[in-house]
Amino acid sequence: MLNTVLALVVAVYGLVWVLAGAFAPAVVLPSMGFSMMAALSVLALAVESYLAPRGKRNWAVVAVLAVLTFGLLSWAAGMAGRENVIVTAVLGGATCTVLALVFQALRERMSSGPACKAAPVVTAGMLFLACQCLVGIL
Amino acid sequence: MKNALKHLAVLVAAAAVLAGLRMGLAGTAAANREAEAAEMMGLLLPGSASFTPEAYDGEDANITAVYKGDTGYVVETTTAGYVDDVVLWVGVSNEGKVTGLSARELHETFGLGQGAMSNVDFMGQFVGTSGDAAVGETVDALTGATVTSKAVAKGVNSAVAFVTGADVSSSATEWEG
Repeated sequence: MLNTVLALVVAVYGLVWVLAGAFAPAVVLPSMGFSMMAALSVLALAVESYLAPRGKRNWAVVAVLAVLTFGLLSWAAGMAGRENVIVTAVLGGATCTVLALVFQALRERMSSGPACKAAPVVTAGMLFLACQCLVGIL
Repeated sequence: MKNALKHLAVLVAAAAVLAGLRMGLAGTAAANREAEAAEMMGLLLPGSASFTPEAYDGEDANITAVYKGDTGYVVETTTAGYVDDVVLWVGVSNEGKVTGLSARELHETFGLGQGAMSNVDFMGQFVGTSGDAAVGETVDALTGATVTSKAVAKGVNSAVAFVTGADVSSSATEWEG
């Protein structure tokens, strides 16, 4: 389920990228860098938590499909040049997989009492802020 | 495994749709990009109707493109920001005054440096400067985005230096033979 949601989220962003490039060239959209990959990944994770809260994961499949999702869709939408597509794919796949691991651990610990319903959104927000800090450190 | 293959098929189909759409809109995108660039340059350098690209062979690595107008230049600068390069278009009159600037590529931290692009108060400070923009002295930095602010200031100063002749190897210098 995670990979399906991730593909949907990245494809929608790709569509926005293509349409903005064609009809609103002055618009500067965030490039497919680490911050954007993290944002799309945590968004997909939060959406998946509501759609399939008890979903089981095969981590190897999650990682491989995430690599393909970021690589293929970024290239198709023109968000990554031919020379950058492998870097984008690997970095995107790694980002998504690591975030999925951390997200699951955090969400499970927050999923009690009144915080349960908001746990995915709060976890996603915290993780995104952590990624922003990581970008600064790097 | 079956689910993974099904997912892969959907992924390939989505990529094909996106690639097809991008190729189909390539002509429209190029035309709109060109029109937008002309309109933007006109806004950055009032009084100029047409712009001619000029080759830049100076030593300032911040300058990546130069367009000559009737009343001055629009200079494209690329400086290192906090996250990525900051690409600006800076309009500079023949007298060496900044007439306008616009961020063309800016991928800084969301909520901090990224705000430079749409922050009129911040960007507006550079209009009218003559290559003396210094963050913390003549220009206020964006809150929490000193590096981005300095990248913008550096780009603006480079653009002015190109026109005023600080870069003597450029064709913009009045006294060059």
